This record gives sequence, structure tokens and C-alpha cells, in this order.
Amino acid sequence: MNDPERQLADMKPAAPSEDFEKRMATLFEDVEPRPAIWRRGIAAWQAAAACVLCGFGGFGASNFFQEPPLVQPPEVRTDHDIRPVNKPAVRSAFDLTDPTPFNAAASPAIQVIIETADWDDPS
Amino acid sequence: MAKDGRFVDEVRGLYETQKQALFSYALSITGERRAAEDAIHVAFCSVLQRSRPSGELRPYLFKCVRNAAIDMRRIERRDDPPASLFNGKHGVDPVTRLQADEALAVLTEDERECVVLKLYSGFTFNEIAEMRHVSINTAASWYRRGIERMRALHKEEITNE
Repeated sequence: MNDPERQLADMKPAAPSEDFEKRMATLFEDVEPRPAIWRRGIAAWQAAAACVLCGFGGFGASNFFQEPPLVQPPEVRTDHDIRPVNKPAVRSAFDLTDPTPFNAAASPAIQVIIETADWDDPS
Repeated sequence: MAKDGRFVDEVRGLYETQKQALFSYALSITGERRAAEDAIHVAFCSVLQRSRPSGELRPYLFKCVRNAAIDMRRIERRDDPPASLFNGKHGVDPVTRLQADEALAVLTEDERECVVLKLYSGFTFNEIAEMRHVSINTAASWYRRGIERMRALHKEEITNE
């Protein structure tokens, strides 16, 4: 040790054990307020991209959980067919000489409602 | 434990860069590897429980490690010879390592601490003086006396041979 200052400075000091490194790593992980991944700054475009992806993903997933569509009932078509049903009675209403009773001609026409439906023919 | 993430990151960053120096410093006080590791662990646990101190963090960490190492030495008083302060694995001549350990062993505690802090932690005399609450001249004289004592030991060995 001619020059102890230089010789000591050139020597590599002892390193702590691996077990100690693990202990210290655990200590720092325990005191972290949040996991490291959450403490990183997230760019606005990354947040927006994540939002769009989640939207598409949610829309796609929702299709798997929808109830099957109900069978639509057949359309009911209503026709209004107004026509005289008792031509003699109508005629008598305008012909005072007709012997047909007047009350029979009181209703010159009736409204006939025919409802038809496009039900599937069971046959 | 500390809730301030930035303070935790700062302490962790300093630990990563200074762990070798911190370990050498703690080992120079305890003389035992396990006790030195425990001292650093205890010191960092304590630091992370508090809020960030004003001023520089690096001298503060070394001061905390020193206090913990002194406590550890008091608790685990051993009669074994102190562990080597130097790495025995990577190409260091065992004779040189032994000589260096013997040379450091003859120093007083203050001199040894000062030499280790100056050579392996890169502290200035001014920083050492602030850490130890002494004047800069005292810190410088600890170092100078330590180096002279080691030199004298070497001359004495040569004379005996």
C-alpha cells in the first residue's frame, strides 16, 4: 500500500446480496401509492383510441346478449266497403209511391267492414 | 408509509444509483454484511414513512443509514473479525484485499467513515462535514490522518519484513 488513497480508490467495494436486493425491491413496491403502470402519463390519443376500441367491443359484445327477435304478427288489413244492401228499400226512400215500409228504408246503407288477415294458411 | 409517489420515486432512484456506496458505508460501520443490509433496509423504511425532508436527499439518506448502522452494531455486537469491505470475486488480489481491510481496521471510526465516504461515495469534505455536524477542517483532517495512518502502517510492515 504505497499509495493507500489510490489503491483503495481502485478497489471494487463489496456488493450487497441478491436477497437484499429483493428485500429492497419489495419495500419499494409496498410503498408505491399506485402500480407503476398507472403512474405513467397517458397521451390523449391513446385514451381516445382506447375509448373507441371499448365502444366497438361493447357494441359487439352486446349482440351476444340480446334476446332473439319476436315473430311479428301478421298485418291486419281493414277494408271499408260501403254499399247499399237493400236496393228496394233505398229505391222506396226516393219513391213515395213504393209500398215498402218507410222504416225499412231508414237505413239506406250499412257499413260493412270486412276484415281480412294474411294468416298463413295452415293447410 | 409515504403516499407521495414522487418522493418514493426519488428515494428509489437514489437507492438504485447509491446502493453500492450505501452498502460500503454501512459495512464500514457494522463490520458485518447482514447487519449492514438490515441497517439500510431499516433506514429506508424509516425514510419512506416520513415526508420529504428539505434540502438534499442524498446526504440525508447516508445519515439515516449511519444512524441505523450504529444501532445495528449496538444490538448485534460480535467478536468475529469484521467482514471485508471489498469485493472478493472479481479479480481483486486476496493479499491486496486483506491489506486494505487491515489498513482500514487500524483507523478510528471517524477516520474510516470519512475515507469510505470520500473514496466510495464521492462526497466532498463540505458534505461530510454537514452530515457529521463538524467543521470542514475536522472532516478533512479525519481523512488526511486516516490516509497517513495507513501509509505509516505500510512502511512499518516493510520495515518488519
